[in-house]
Amino acid sequence: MALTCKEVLVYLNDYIDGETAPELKAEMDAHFQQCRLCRQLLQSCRKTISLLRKAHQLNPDKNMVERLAKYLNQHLSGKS
Amino acid sequence: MSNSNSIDRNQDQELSELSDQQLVARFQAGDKDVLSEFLKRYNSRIYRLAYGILRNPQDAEEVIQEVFLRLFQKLDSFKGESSFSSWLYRVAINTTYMKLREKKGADMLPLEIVGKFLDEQAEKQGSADWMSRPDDELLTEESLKLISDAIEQLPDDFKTVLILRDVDCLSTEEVGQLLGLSPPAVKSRLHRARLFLRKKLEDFYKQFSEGG
Repeated sequence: MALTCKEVLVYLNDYIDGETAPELKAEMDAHFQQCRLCRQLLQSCRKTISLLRKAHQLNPDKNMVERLAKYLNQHLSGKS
Repeated sequence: MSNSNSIDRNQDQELSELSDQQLVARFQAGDKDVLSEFLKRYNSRIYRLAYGILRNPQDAEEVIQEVFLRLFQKLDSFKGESSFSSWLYRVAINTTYMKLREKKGADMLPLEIVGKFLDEQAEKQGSADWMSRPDDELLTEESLKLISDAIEQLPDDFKTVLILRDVDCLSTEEVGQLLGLSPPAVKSRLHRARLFLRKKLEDFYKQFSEGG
C-alpha cells in the first residue's frame, strides 16, 4: 500500500540523511513523484540544512586565535 | 633565518600528518610542540559548536579558551578509552552547557511548545520559490539573524543535536554517544529542530514573495 503524507513525514529525515532501507526509499521516491506538497517539504528541508550549514561556516578570526594562544601561554606557563 | 623558517615548516607538515592518537602519544612523551597542531586542527570546530549553541561570539571565545586550557591540562591523563575527538567534543559540550547555564533566563521555548508548533505546522505548505534560489542569494544579514534567533529558541539538547549533526556533520551514533542519547532520541530531536527552522525560514521568505 502506498505511503501517506503523514508516514512520509515520519521518515523524512532518514530519507534526507540516506538512512532509509531500499524498499522504503523506493516507496518514498514514488510518493515524492506524485505528491507536490511532500516534494516541496523535502526540498525545503534540504534547503534549510544547506542554509544552516553555510550560515555556520565561520572561523574564529585571526585576532581571536592569537588571543587564544596568548591566553593558553599565560595559563600553561607554570606547567612543565 | 630562512633555515629556521624551513625547519618550522617541515615540523608543521610533519605534525599535520600525524593522527590525533599519535599527537597525544607525543604530548605524553613530553613533546609540547604538538599543542599548536591541536589548536590548528580543532579551534574552528570547537568555535562553531560553541557559537552554534551560545549564539554569541564573546561567549564562544570564552568557551574555546576554557576547552583548550582543560584539554592541555588533562591531556597527560588521557587514556584513549574513547577517541580523542569524542573526548574533546564532550569537554566542549560540557563547557558550553556550563556557560549556557550561567546565561539562563534567555527566551527558550519549552519542549512541548516546540512539539505542538511543529505538529501543527509541519504539513502546511507555503511558497515554493525560495527553495530553488541559490543559498548565497538567500543568506542575507536578516536571514542569518533569523536563523540565529530560531536556533536560540530551541531547547538546549535540540540545539546541540542540530549543530553537531547538520553543521559538524557527526553521525547519529556519534551524537548519541556524546550526549548520552539513544539514536531514536537523536533523530527525534533533529527532526523537530529541522522542521522548526524550516518553518521559520519559509515564513520569512514567504513575506518577500507575497510582498512582491
